[in-house]
Amino acid sequence: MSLRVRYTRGFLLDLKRRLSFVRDAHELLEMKRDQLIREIRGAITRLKEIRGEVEMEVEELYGELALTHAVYGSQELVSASWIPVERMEVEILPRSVMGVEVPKVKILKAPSIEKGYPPHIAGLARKASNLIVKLLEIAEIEALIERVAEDLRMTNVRVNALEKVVIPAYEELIKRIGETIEQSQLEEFMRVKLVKKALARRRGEV
Amino acid sequence: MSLTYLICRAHGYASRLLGRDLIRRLAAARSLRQLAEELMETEYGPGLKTAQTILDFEEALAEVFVSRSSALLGLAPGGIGDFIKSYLRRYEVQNLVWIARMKLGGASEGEIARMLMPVKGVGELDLEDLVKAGSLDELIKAVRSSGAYRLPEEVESVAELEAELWKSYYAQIFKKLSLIPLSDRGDVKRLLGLELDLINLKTCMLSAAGKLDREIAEMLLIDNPAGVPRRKLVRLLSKGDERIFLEHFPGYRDFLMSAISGGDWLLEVERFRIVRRFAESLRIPRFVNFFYVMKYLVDLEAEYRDLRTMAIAIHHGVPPESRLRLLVSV
Repeated sequence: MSLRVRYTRGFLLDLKRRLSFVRDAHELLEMKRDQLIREIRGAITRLKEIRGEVEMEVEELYGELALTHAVYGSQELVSASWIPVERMEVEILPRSVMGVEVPKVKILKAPSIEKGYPPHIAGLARKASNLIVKLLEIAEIEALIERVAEDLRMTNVRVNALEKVVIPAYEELIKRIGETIEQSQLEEFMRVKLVKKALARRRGEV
Repeated sequence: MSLTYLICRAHGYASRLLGRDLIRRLAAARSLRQLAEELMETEYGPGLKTAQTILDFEEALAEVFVSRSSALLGLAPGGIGDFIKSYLRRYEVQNLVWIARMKLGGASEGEIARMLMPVKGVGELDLEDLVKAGSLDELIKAVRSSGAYRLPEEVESVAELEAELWKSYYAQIFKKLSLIPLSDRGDVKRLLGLELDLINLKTCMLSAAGKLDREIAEMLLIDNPAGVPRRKLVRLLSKGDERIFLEHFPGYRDFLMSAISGGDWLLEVERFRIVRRFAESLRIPRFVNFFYVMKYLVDLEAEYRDLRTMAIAIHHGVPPESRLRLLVSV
């Protein structure tokens, strides 16, 4: 905080106004921090849920893939994997969470599995395709957590800086200026008193 | 070479097939190396000695399988040899389907060649030339111009090509039945009819269960002169209900139930088990009978499939008790 300190009443009032603004900002940042924490908590809960689902589905899919592979052989599976199917089309849109820009994945076109693969492999392909949608959701949530966490860190730094440095510094300065002004007022009072006394003496009143 | 000699040799070869106990023991192997060691004393041994990856294993097993199958060709008299060759062309069809899929996806010649079954001498076509085809259209043109398979003028997709190749294959094999002795013709026809019925029913069940588009399913259905007519299946398919098939084909109840209970792979295992059981169940009145050759071919394929299944199941870490469910001959 670099300020040219002036020990005047006007400057003191200005400082008090600034302190009140800083306190409001601190309160707002605290609210933002709490909201960001809530966002992260919500996202982590959803991530845990969806991760659990995906892990289960991957396990199931892998089990089924292993059995299909074992029964039909590598040639059938590998050759089917070469069959070109439509590509999935996605669009990444920006979304704002408490002013933090996070990506939102929008699926424009999901590939049609039905017409490409042989029937005994289409089931596996369909499951894998559905899994991709969930993996995209995981990626979206992870990106949200990462960005919100970064912003939370910055917000936390700001809140702490205001709480531990800026506000105490302002308070300290206000206190110092207040004391100095009070002291100079007292000095002034004493000076006036002495002058009055001197004048009275000169007039022979004493 | 006479037919009797071929049949006797088939009996001899059949004695070299792996026993049920050995298959069970192999299914319990903990690693591919252990599986290879257990097979070291058999015909598979030399090929497996150097096998490192699962693809090497599959290649080695396929080589033994094809060489054992094609060994019969050299022993068979004229017409019979033709029939066996036609029967074995199913592996050529399989190769063609794999080539077509990979061509469509832009796989390199090397990648395609690595995947094929070594059926040289068994098929009609030179697969090495077909692998070099620049595109799927070129491949289809080459197959059509060879005359080995009857393909329509317009083939729009790999699925259609696959369906047409199999239709052509089965049409030819049924035609070639006239080349085998009259006394065996009925049994072999029933065997092929059963095989085709199961393939068609599998397609129907997948479609009725919503796993396959009805139009594609209809396209995949193959005419069966020795079983359920295609027309009937198309009619039942239009009802879109799995239970209809259970009502109409009570003899295949177990097979159809496995389709309903899920696991398309189980359907394939069941299909082959039924065919094999049927071949085993036929009580041939005479020792010298052509059907023994057919039965040997079915058993040989079952053994190849089982060994391949075991190797892949071990590769994927499928537990030994689950591996048995995947085997045809246990």
